[in-house]
Amino acid sequence: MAIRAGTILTVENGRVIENGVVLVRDGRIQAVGADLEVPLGAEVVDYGPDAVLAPGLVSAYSDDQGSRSTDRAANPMLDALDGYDFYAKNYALLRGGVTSTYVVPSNGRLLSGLGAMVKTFGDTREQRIIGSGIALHGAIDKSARTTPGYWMPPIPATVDVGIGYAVEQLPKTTMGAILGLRELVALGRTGAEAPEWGLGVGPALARAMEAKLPWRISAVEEHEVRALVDFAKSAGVVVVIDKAHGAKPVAKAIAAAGVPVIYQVPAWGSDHGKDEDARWPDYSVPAALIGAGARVAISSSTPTRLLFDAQLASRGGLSPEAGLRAITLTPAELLGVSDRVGSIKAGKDADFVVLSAHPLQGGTVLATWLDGALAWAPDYEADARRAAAEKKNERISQVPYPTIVVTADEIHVGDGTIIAPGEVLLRDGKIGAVGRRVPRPAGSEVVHTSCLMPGIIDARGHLGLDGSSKVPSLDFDLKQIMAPGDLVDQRVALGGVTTVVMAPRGDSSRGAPSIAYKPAAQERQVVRSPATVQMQWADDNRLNSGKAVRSLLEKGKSYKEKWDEYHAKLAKWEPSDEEDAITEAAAESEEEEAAEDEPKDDKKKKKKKKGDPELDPDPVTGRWIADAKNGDAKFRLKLVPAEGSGDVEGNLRAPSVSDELVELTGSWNRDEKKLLASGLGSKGWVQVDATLQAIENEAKEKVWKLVGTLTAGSTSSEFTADRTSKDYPVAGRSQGRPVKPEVAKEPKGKPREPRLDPGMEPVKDILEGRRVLVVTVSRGDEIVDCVTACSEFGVKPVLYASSGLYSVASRVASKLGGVLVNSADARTEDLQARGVPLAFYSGMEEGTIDLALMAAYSVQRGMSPDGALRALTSDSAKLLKIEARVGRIAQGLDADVLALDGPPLAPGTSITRAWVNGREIVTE
Amino acid sequence: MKLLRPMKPLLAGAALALFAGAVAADKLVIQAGKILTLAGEEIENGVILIENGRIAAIGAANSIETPWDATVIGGPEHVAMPGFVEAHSNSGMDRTNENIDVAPFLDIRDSVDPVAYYFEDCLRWGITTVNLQQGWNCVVGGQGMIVRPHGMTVEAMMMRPTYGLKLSARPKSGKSRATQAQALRTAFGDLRRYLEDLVQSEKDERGFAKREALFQGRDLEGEKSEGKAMTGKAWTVAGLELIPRGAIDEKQAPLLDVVEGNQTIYFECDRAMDVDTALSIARDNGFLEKTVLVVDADCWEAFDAIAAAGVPVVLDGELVHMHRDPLSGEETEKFAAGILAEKGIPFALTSRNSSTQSLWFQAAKAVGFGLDREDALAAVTSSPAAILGVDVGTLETGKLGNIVLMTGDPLKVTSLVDHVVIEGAHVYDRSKDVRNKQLLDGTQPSGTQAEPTPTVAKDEE
Repeated sequence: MAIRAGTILTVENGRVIENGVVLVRDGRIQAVGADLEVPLGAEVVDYGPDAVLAPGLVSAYSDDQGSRSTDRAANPMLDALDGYDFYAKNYALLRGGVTSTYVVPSNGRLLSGLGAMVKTFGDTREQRIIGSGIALHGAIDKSARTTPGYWMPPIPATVDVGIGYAVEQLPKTTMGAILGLRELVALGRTGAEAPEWGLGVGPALARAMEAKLPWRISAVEEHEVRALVDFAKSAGVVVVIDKAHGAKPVAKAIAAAGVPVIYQVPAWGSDHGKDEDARWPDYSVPAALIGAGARVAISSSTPTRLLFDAQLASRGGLSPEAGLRAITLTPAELLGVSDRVGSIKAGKDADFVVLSAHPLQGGTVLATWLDGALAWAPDYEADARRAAAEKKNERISQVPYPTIVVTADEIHVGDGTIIAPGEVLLRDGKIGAVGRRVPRPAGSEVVHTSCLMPGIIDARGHLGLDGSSKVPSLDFDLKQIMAPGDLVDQRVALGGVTTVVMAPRGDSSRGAPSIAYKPAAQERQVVRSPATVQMQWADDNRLNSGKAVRSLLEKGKSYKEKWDEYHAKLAKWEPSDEEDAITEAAAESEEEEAAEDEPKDDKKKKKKKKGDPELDPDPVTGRWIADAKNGDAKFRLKLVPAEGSGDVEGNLRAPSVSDELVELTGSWNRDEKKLLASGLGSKGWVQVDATLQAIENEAKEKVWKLVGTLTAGSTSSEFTADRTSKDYPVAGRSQGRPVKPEVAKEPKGKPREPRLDPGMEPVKDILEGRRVLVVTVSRGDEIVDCVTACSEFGVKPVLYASSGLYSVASRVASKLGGVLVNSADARTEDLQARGVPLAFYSGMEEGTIDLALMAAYSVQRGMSPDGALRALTSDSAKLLKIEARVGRIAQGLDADVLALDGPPLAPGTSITRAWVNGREIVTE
Repeated sequence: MKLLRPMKPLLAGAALALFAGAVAADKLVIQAGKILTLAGEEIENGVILIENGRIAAIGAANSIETPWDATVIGGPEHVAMPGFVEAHSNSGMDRTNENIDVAPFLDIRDSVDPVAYYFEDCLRWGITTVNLQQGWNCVVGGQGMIVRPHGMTVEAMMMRPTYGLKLSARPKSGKSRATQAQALRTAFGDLRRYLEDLVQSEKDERGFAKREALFQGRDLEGEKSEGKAMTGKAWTVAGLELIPRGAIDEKQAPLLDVVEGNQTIYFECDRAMDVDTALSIARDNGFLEKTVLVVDADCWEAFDAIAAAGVPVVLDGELVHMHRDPLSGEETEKFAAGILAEKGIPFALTSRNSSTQSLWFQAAKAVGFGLDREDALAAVTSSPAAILGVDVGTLETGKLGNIVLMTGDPLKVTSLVDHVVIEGAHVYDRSKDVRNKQLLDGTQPSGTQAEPTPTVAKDEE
């Protein structure tokens, strides 16, 4: 295999090869150079002239050893590999270009174990180990100076043998730590057992010293580094200073003593302490050390960001070459694995990182190679994520709706009627038929159950908020926080609740929206959004109670009046014959426009003009109706030239290419009579390319028409368009609605549409009786006030948390839209009898599953079973004005049904199966 | 609540009477509408004859003559099957671990409480054999034992004393995985050093071991006075035949048994990497063949290593591990029992130390996740019996008469255990299960409705 890159940084003697190639065989580097002959049959991977190939990075630190320290102050027997999880997949390290990593045995002891070096990826444990027992790992810094006393209770403790006591262990001070190290070195020379250090420490140290292992000792503060340098001079063992955050003032001494350093870039992104002597990160230490002539490797306390931290550590004037060496070859040398990794050299392992630029000059990782194979590339993750997402989507929506016939001994329709026995056909996610016998289409599954009822509606719950207590404003679309049903939602559905009105926890003085949705559904989740507007009546200052509700309704009223006025004017307005050549098609089209969002067919543009050759001074501005040549579709175009330039802007309504109005921008060339405009539609980019031509119409007159093509994606259609009006209403453009010209400005034109306010639309709906206002009001007197105030606006409010309602029920019953209850009794039944619709609510997240229990308990307390069932289903739907979708088992409604093994609302009845949108809910 | 409090001693008394009252009949005939032998064909309308605790005959009703002096239980409404075998449990004792790291000298028999509700529940759920072992919070735990969940004393319950020793690759609290592995290795290193010191002292004619043993009051007579060459497979200590066996410190002797391959090891593993640690320590010390891994579904990535090592497994944790793909972040279910069956690893399920999750419920759940019904039933009967090496788990002539009569299919949640027979003794009858009745039917045990009178002693009779 051959890998080519524009620049190869071998790190070996600082050699850089331009336009070089690396030959790899059996996971090893065979050769590297600029003019190598690539053997026949070798696979060639070329990263291009801009790519930089560097040795795989060597992390001299690992952060996954856990926080447990060993019991004894010196434990040179502890093997770091015993704590290394070879099953874990280190994609995060590969992403950072790290191919080899040192494994820390344990932290926070004078000698905490033997470090090891492993590859960050690979199939087997054996393949991944580069070296075990490669360094003695220890510390003299603060972390190691809190070693607790060591106590091993005797077994058994007798009168002769006491239970003993904890033996103090070194070190508590830096001098103690150095003393301890000296003792340990002496112990290692003799190899004798020393009970005060623990069994096995002496022989283990002797083995380590025989193998000439480096003593990698961490020292942080300046005085610790100084002490360690002094120790290193006389110890007779190889000492490597780890961390070395305070080494800057000691740089010269370190260089003079020839003690190498593994500088650890301090953790950033956390507090550093406010004390006077708190150590705040100084990233220029390596530059100072290298400048003084010391050997420095750079590690990171978070190895996944080694590359970034190395760039950080080049502050203070570290050359890119020195920086790269400090995260590749130098750590490999210091830790005794430079025969395998650290540079690009024949014979070493084929571990590379491919970058967009020099690694210390802002290069990002394009690929990571390990043992001669690609181990990571950016698209790995994207691909995996895409594959997973595709798989999931397939699971959700690719499955067609099943056709199911449910036969039941009793079907409780939800509105009080019972069909016994009866059958229901579930088809295309809807209820296809209900009755004593229903058709059984071919391929339908037949299911029998004892009893069937509609899915339960929770009239005010919080499932889906996931603990959030934010109260959104009325123009916030709660659809944005919808997620397809998960296990919890499925369990809730199996508990009977198929529709939840997810309401924010709490009310807003400006009104808060709720959304009716089906938590367990994977598609067609939203039943209505916003479902209700909720407000609180009472104010902290009771004198102000109700002001917010009144004010919202006032505002809504004036907003509604504006629209009413507009509609009234619109109804009176008749298009005048200011242009005598309006074609029939155009006239039709104007009507459509008046009826707002009626679908228009295709788009075509025609310029109409009497006398053929004379061109209008402004031949473009206005509305155009276009006929497509290859179809019966029509579309509409509005155009206006931008002032003083050849640009043109406008919009296009063409249902065949976009569900929404397309905003167009483009150019108009008067000399060539050429129009070119484009814009983004809901289905993709749309382009209009047309010229103005004088064409004879049916009346044998020549008129100017736009002739050209409409292109959307890969399809295009030819059209000719006629101009139906010369005015261009500017105000309406951004709202995606057809807009009429202002009366004052254009006396002959249509009345102008008021501004659309998404926050006021729901309130307008409430005033028109098409949506529900839910008011939190509890005291009897306030309920009367509230209902009276609302009825002034013609609104029947739905009451929530209205404990005081019973005392005033007779006075307000006729003016109520309904009441939300979560426990009911005979008194509530009385309300129902007065014609007030009731709906059960849970006010909980997954606790909504108990809604049926609340209803069953209410039955026990005196509510009629029929009334309770209605308050769970059909009445609840009616109250919330979602009865066209859910709430009953009736033809055309959503197929949300529950199979029961007994009568509904009996505590002993369980729900055996549940369907939402015609799909059975099965917990995985 | 006032009524309930004085009821307690009465209830316990009544329960004791129930569970202690059963007496082994010499001959017991069990009739069942269906017999799941788990060793071949099911028998419709069959009969099992138990004599002296073992199955003397099993077959269709018309093929076996009922002896005139036999007690007969069961009927056509029952399904008979072998009693369930709990392959590994930490229940029925006060605390599951001592604080010290290495404690092979502890014996679980000193901790077991014969009147613990756990044993009573075992019978309710049809469990007739329980392997009691220490918990995982140790490095080397104590010795366990196999019991029948019936009897007033530990001796009466005992099937096999000092069976099994707990080792844990799962870190004890306060240890990291590295220090846990080190502590395990050190335990065996210490044993070796101890044995070598003993031999050396004998050679030096200091007789240290013998004196120590006599001082500690251990007698060195009979077998114990003889030395024996070490039979360790991975390593040995030469000259150990010089040391009387009785002179080896009781604190070390159980580990010597392990190294010599005379003790079964229950090795606790919590994650895949623990399995590697456990297998390497077992290999290094020559007891791989006597090792049973107690694993969690989390260990599924190491199942290849387990299959290669050829050791059986007790799946003690969840049946399913939610695996998160490190690249895509997608979560997939890894059904551990299914993977074990697929790789041909012998495995047993456990009731997870909880009486509310019975063994057969675990088995039924495993079927729900896609395990073969035969494999699932074997995983709670014959498979654990084979792991424990006890003569139960299937219904065949000559096997111990451990039989459960259920009201229906054993993997159906609506089925209940009606009768339990352990080695021919009729030890459980649901119709006489006072506590069960009170729980399910609200029936007050007789004598507890009125003012309680101090008649505890009488009830116990």
